[in-house]
Amino acid sequence: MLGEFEYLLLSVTARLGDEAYGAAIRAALEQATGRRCSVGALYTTLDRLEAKGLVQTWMGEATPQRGGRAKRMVRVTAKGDRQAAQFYRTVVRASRGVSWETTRSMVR
Amino acid sequence: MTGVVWWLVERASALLDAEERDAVRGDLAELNVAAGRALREVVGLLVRRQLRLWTDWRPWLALAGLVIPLGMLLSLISRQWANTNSIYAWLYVDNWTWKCQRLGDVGLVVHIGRRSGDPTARAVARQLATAATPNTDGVASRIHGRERDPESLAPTVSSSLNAICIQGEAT
Repeated sequence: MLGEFEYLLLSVTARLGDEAYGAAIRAALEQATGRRCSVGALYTTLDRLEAKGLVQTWMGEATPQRGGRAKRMVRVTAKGDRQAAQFYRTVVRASRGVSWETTRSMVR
Repeated sequence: MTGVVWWLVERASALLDAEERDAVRGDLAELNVAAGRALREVVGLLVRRQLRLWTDWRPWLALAGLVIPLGMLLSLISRQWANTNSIYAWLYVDNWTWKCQRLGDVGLVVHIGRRSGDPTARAVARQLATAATPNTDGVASRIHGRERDPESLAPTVSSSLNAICIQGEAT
């Protein structure tokens, strides 16, 4: 079972697709959650996910806006995709009928 | 101030792997992170990296099986060594003067011992002075203003240089 932050990271990475790298993932995470995401949290979680075989990372090209430094590119693996989908279904199932779920439906 | 903090960021990130250092510095530059926050984040990453190492059982085994026993052994040895040598260190620190600089090793101990009020130190000095002057009979006695100590038949460790040095000190 994934942790909350691991799931968020997988979701954002999957959504960014080929543009998923450290800074982009971090910006998207902060935007989605409204919380700050530190470099330490991001990279240690990426390491953990990579060790579990849920993501794959490699060094990409350098750009001038990064001071000529390389990016750490990230891609969700098939296993990561399955685990994220399973986590999502579990959360949706577990959330059926709870007060915040019905409130959200009524707001809609 | 900001320059100093960025310098610290550079120094801290130098502890990361080459590829990770590049990625982290690049991310910080791209997101225009402030110097203070950048430093906190890099230090945070380093701390997390170190803590992660301790989630494995091997460092704990090395700590309990090697580091702690060896540390205790070294501590005991150094304590024992300190006990035997502290008296000499104390004598040296408590009695050192500029005059000591021109004395030889034995002459220095004799000089210090002679000045000391401690009977053990004076006895050591007397023994050394006598042992150091086997060919200059009576010199050590003259230093201390006593007759030659009959117990002072210690092995010869001196050179005539030391004898001259001690004699010079006496006069």
